Parts: sequence; structure tokens; C-alpha cells
Amino acid sequence: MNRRHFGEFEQLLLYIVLHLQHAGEEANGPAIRQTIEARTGRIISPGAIYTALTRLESRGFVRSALGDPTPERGGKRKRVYRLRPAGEAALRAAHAAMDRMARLARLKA
Amino acid sequence: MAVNPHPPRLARALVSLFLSGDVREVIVGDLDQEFFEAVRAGAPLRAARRRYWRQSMASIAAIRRPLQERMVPDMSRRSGFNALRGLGLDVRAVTRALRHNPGYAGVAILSLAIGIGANTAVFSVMRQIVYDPLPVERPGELRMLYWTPNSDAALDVSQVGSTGYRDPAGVFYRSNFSYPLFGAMQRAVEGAIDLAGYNRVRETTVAADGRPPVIREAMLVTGNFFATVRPPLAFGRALTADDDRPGAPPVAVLSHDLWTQFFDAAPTAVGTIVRVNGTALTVIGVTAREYRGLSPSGFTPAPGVTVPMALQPAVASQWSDSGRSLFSEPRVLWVRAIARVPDGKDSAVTQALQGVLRAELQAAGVPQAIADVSAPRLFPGARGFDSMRNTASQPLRLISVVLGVVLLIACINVAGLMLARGVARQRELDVQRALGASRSRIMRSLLVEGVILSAAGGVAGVLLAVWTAPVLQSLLTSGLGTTGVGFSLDWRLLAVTGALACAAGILSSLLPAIRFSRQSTLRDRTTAGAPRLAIGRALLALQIAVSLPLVAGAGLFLRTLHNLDAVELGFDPDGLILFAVDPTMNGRAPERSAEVYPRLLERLEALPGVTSATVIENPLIANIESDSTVTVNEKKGVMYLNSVGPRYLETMGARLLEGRPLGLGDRRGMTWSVLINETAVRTFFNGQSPVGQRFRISKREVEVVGVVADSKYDGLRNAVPPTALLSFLQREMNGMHVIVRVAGETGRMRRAIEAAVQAVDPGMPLTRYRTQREQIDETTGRERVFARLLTAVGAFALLLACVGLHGVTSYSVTRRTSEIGIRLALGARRSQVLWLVLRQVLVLAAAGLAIGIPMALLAAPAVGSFLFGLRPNDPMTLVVAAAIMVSVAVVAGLLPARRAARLDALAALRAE
Repeated sequence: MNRRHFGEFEQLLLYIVLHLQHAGEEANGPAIRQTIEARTGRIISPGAIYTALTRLESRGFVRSALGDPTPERGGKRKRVYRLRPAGEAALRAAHAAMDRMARLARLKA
Repeated sequence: MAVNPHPPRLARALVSLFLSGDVREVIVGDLDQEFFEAVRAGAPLRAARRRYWRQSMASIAAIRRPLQERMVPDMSRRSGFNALRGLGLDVRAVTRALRHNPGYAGVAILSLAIGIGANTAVFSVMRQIVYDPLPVERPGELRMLYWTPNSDAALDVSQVGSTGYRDPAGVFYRSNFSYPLFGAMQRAVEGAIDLAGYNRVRETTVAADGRPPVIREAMLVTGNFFATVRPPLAFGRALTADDDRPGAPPVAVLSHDLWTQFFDAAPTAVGTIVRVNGTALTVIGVTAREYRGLSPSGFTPAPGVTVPMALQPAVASQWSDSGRSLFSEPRVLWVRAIARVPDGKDSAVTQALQGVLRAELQAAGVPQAIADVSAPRLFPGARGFDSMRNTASQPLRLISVVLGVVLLIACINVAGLMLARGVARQRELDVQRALGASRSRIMRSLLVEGVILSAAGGVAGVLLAVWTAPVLQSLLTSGLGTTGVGFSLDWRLLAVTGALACAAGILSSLLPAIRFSRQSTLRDRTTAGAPRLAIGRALLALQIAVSLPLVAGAGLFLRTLHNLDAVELGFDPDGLILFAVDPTMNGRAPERSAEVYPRLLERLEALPGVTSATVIENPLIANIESDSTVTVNEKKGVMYLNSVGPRYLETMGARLLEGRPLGLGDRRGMTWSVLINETAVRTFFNGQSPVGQRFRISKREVEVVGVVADSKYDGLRNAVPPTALLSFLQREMNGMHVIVRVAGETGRMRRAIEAAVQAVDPGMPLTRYRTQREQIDETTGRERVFARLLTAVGAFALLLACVGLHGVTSYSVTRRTSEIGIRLALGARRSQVLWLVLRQVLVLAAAGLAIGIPMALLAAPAVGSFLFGLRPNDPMTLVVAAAIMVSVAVVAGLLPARRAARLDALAALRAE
């Protein structure tokens, strides 16, 4: 598989992890899902999100660590994601490619 | 908001079940967190839970699917989720494959459909006859009240419409009580339980203005019958105690059927008048459609009207022929009793009734010794009359065993077909295995094939059952004597059919599944290398073995029918027409009704085509008889009696051996004249001529005026009993049957005969019109049903055996093409090749018979009681059945054998 390419959903996830990082928030499952839901209106199941993030992690774009258990989670730990430099570079490249394509097609957001 | 909301436990458990490791922990944590946050933010609990469910299931799907997509085709060891998905693929693949083999699928589905359909139909009937309760409130509380001892002679009482019942311990019980006795019992249990009385008036004329009168059964009931039994009403009100008082306005409750027929189901029927045997009754209510009296299975006709018992003198005047009121008569037993007894009260009720029963019997003059041992007994009554009926379930059980065998044969046959097809698919299966499909995977796809075939067979079977329901119904009507049983589809029946179909599917595909899932290598197969298919041959032998008892059974019943037809009757049944007329049903007083018959006979004999006519009390071969104790020269015994009219002997074609026939001269007021038969002469007169001698029937002295040749009386199977024929003119009976002998065809006479009856007594109904032949056939209905059923089933088994044998032989000829080519090239004659193939078929048939004959002998005693004139292990029948099986085998093998014999040696060799 081409290591530089990823799907639309994976790209979306990378944007969100980056955004949460800039905002100084923890990029965990609920936070990512709430952002997706708030910005795109899509409801994605946790399972789908972790499947995609696991794939991104195995390709070196993100890294993750298990966070502390909190009482509101019934004592369950959460997984927190951070973008790795390779991920940021890949996102930048993909964004630039998409941007060029959009301009080529004179598509205005 | 709930005090302590929590996420749906089941959803969470499912996540835990399907996911593992820290993925599980993180996802459950996310879902829980989100759930609590949503609830805290004021979201409705239900929405939060629904979201939890949706998200957790989506997560399972999202995480498991990528795992699965990485899997090799073998998914059988994965957890249930994957197995299910694999199953879906199998179903699709099998359906596609079956569509491409319509011949194979068609034969398999059709044979399963016949097996499943027949079993479904019989189960539907069996359920109604063995299980379905009365359509009343809490039928389980109903009890039928019977009592013992059951011996008229010892009690010296007379009965009306009574039945006896022999319990499993062999004790006889009787159903009837006298009215005074019933009243005393009712008072004894008053307040504790409900005890209601009733009896059936088998035939009454019911008429309403503007509609032709009909003959219907009427039910006489005590005022508390509706409160006790609680039959559902469609309209109006039920009978009450006030309706059952002497002098109360005469009223009736109509059946739904009559309501529709007479009043087009209009509510205005209530308050109008119907006439029952000429008495005007006001309609007060209508019973619901599903209520058909106390026989839910229809063994007795549904009552058209239910009337208060107080109306007995008007509606059932023929019962009181002694002229005394039945309400005060302690020695006529005419009331049957049904009770509603809540659980646990049975023994207390029985005890309370016992004292009353003994006291009342004693007061009625019943000998002390009998009164002292008399005991009441409550029998379960949830099924009304049918609770006491166990005669129908025996033939039904036999039928269901036979049909079970049919289904088994169908399964074996389908297994054989699947084996043959499996051989054709061998390469495909080998490829699948080579690509990594496991043994269980291949087994599963074959099992799926079996279940799909049988599911289709089940659907087709239900359609078949619906389609053949009318045939089945008429079979049962004649065979079991029930009218209310039909085929009805509901979810319970469908569940049974589904279970049958599943079992059949697994049963038929198990062997092929085991056989073809065995490891084998992928190699190029030539025709010579094809497997010998030993299992297929073994299955066929088994199929022949199981079919043999069916074919033999058909033979046994066909011969039984033949034997019954050949019974020496002692009279000539051809050209005889029978019917009943009862002048009391036309509103005539009982004492004035006997005078109608001589006028009617005169009129009938004047009809063109009629040679003679007479009357008879009990028609012959109709399972009814009268008997009485007789005293001949101080010797006591029992003789069967029948009252007959003048010209009886010539009408019936019976022979007079000695003396004179009964005639118009044998009238009232003289000593009764009787004719006795040869058996009676042998039994009571030591073979001496009895003409002119006198003896006593019960207490009345009679004189023998002649001797007649023996003839069958109540049934074909029964030996000729010692019989005395009495003159009906001397006995003055109601409800006689008329017998008309016609010279030509019996079919055209009905209108003329009906006109004659109307001319003699306008409005008098004519019932039970049939020929003597039809009457005889009615009593052999059960044998006819079995003969027809087994013949059909036997033919089906033979056909399937034929298909199977043909298939296996063809396969073997194909497999041995090169071998046969070599034989022919080396100089084998055509006949030798023919024999080579046929021998194989015969070996199979012989193996089948070797198992089948002992099986047939083992099963034979089960039908013993239904047979007549031959033993169940009749060697002749078995030999013929075996011969039929062998000839079918030869016919099935002949086509492929001839194909083999005609092979061109060179071409066969080149085919290699």
C-alpha cells in the first residue's frame, strides 16, 4: 500500500487530532467523535474511529497512549492520540494536493 | 429522569463478548462516558440508551469486519458473528446451484413436499381430535359425570341416548341418570359447584317462516347449562333457570349455522319463532360460530338448537313412549351430566354425590346389592364428549406412523440424490478443499443444501396440504366418523412443519455431508476413477427395506376390503333403498305415529319401479342392534331382536326355511309372532323344529311362526347372532327405517319416494336416505381409508425407489463404461452385459428385502385389529409385495442395463 496515501475519513481524523492538539485539548475517542459530529454532522461509532486510527498508527502517522481511568468512564482507561511529524507532513501534502485539485476545478468551499 | 441511569447491560455485554483487550476497555469506556454525559446534560434516557446500542453494535461491526476480511475462506472456527455471515454466503451459493439443477431440485423438493405435507395435514387433524378443547371459558374445569355399574339387565331400567365408557382399568361406566336422581344430585352439590344436565335429540325438524325446514340435532339442557359450560354467544342471551320451569314461555338458543341459514345472521332473529318438531319456540340467543356442541372434533353433529329440558315432551316426545312423565320416572335414565369443578374439589364432589346416588337408586327399587356398589366418577371434560373417545386416536396414530415412514423414505431418497450430485460436484469440492476450506466448512454447505431443499419442500408441503385438504377431509369423514375436523393453518402448525422440514433437511444431508467432507486429493478423475458410492447403494437397500412394509400393508388392506365385500350377507343388498321417517318429528303424538307406516308402504309399493317395500327397526350392517334376555324352555340367554314390517323377507331377499312369514295379520292384541334364524334354532332349540313353540322375550310370551336363513345383522365382521324378528305392527314403534326394493336403478327414485312420503304425511321429513350398498360401505369406511392411503403411499414409495434405483444404476453404468467396452471387445454377449447390470440391481433389491421382510413382520401386529379374513403376517401378501418390489427394481434397472448392452465396444474404449 502506498504509505503516503490515505482515505478521506483518515484525513478527516488527522485534521481533528491536529486541531485538538492546537487547542490544547486531549485527542481522545469522545473528543474526536464530538468534533466530527459538531463539524460534519456525521456520527461515527467508536469502533470505526479506533479501526482507522489503529491503521494510521501502524503507518506511523499518529501515536497513542492509554490515559488514566476516570470515574465517569466507570474506571475504564481511554486512549489518547497525538500527531507524529510524518502524519503532519502527510496531511500537509494531502491538503496541498486537494487544494490544487479544488482550485483546478474552481471549487469554492 | 431515572434515579440511577445505567447504560444498557446487554449491549455492553455484547461488546465485551465480541471485542477483546484494550480495544474493548477503551470502547466501553467511551460509550459509558458519552452516555453519562448525555444523561447529565438532560438528554432523554431512552435516546441515550438507543444511541448506546447503535454505537456499540456499529463498533463491533467496524472492528470485526476488517479482521474477517483478512481471513482465508475458512471462517468456521471464528466466533458466531462470522459463522453467520459465512452461512449467508452458503445459502446464496446453494440457491444459485439449485437453480442451475432444476431437475435435481425439483425431484428432491417434490418428494420432501409430499412427505412433509402429508405429515402436516395429519398433525393438523390429530391435534383437533386429540387435543383441542371446547371453545368455552376455562374448559379444563369441566367434568363429565359417569357412574358404575353399567348393566341394564341387573338394574332393569331403560335408557335414552346413553353411552358407556370403559376406563383403562376395564371398569364400565354409564352416562345417564334419571331426572329425579339428577335433581337430587344437583341439590346435593348446590352452592359448591355447578352441575348441569343435558341430552341430545339426534334428529328434529327445525323450521322458520319462509324457509324450508331442516333436520338438526337438538340439545335439551337444564336451566344452568349455560352458566356451567359457558358456551360463547354470538348474539342475544343464554338460557337461564327461569326458562327451564314447567309452564315457562318456550324458548330456544339457535346455532350460528341455523341463524345464518334461517335469518341471514340478522339481529332481528331474536324474538322470532322457530318450530322444533312442530312446537313454536321463541329465539332468545345465538351461540358463537366456534361452538359446535359438546363434540369439538365433530364426532357428533353440532346441535342446531339448544332448548330447555322442560320442553322434552314437545321436542323429544318419542322418549316417553310409556306415556308417563320422564320428570318423575325413576327407572328411565335420560339425563347426562356435566359439571364445572374448580381444581382440587373433585374428590369432595364425588363423595357428596355418592351418598345421593345410592340412596336414590335404592328408592327407585334397584336391588340393594347393586345400589351399594354404585359409584359416581368425574372424568376430565375439557373436550366434552370427545374427552371420552379414544377410538379415533388409534387409527390416527397408525396413519401418522405410516406417514412418518413416508417422510423417512423421502429423506433417504433425497440423501441418495445428494450423493449422486455430490459425485458430480466432486471436483468443485476438491477445489474448495485445496483452497483451504475445512471439512466442517464443506459439511456445512451440504447441510445448508439439505435444509434449503427441505425448507422449500416444507413450503410446497403446506401448499400441498391446503390443496388436498378437501380430499383429506372426506377421507376422515368416512374413516373416522367425524365431520368437524378440517385442515386449518396457524402458527403452531407452521412451527411443527418448520421443525419437520429442518429435521428432514438435516437427516437427508447428514450422510452426504460426512461422505464428501472426507479429505481427498485433487486429481484428475477419469470415469473409471469415480467412487463406487457404497453409501448410495446402502441407502437404496434401506429405502427398499422401508418401502416393503408399506406395500405389504396396502396389500393387507386391499385383501381385507375384498374379504369384507365377499362376506355372505344372507340377503341381497343390491337394489335396496333405505331411509328413516319419524312421524313424531312432524308434530304427531307417539301413540298415533305407527299408523303412518302401513299407509306409506302401500303408497311406495304402488310406485313404478318398486317391487316391494317394508320397514325395519334397525337397518342391517349399520352397527346398531337391539337385544334382550330370552327364556326358552327355562333356558336363559340373549337374542338379538329386530322389528320388521310385512313382506320383509321378499324385500330383503332373505330366505324362509320353514313356517310362514310375518304379515299384516300379525297385529296388536294377539300373542306376538316371531321368526327366528338358524343360529337361534341351533342355540335354543337343539336344532329341533321350533315352529309353533313359545318362549319369553324379557317377560312377554311369543310364538315362533317360522325359521329364516341366517343373515348378518349389525356388522360384516360380527358372527350371525341368534336373532328373532318381530312384527312392528304388534310392537308399535316410532322412528322406523323404510326399505324399498327397486327393479331398476336406485339413483332415480329419490324424487318419487319423497313425493310419496309427503303425500302420506305432509311436512314429514325423510332422513338418512341411502342405498343398502352405501350403508354397508359406511361401516367399512376405516378399512377403505387405510386401503386407499396405503395404496397411495405404497405407490409413492415404489416410485421413489424406482427413481433411486434408476439413478444409481445409470451412474454405475457410466462409471463402468470402459470396463463394459473391454468385456464386449473380448467377446461378451449383449445378454451377458445386460445380466451384469441387472444382477447389481437385484442384489440391491435382495438386500433391501432381507431387511424389509423382518421389518414388515415386526410391524404387522399393529394393523391386526383392522384386518378381516387374513392374518397380519399373511405370507401370500408378503410374497406378492416382495415380488412387486423386485419387479420395480428390474424395471428401474432395465433402461440403464439396455443402454450398457447396446454400447459400441470401440466407442466405449475410446471414451476413456
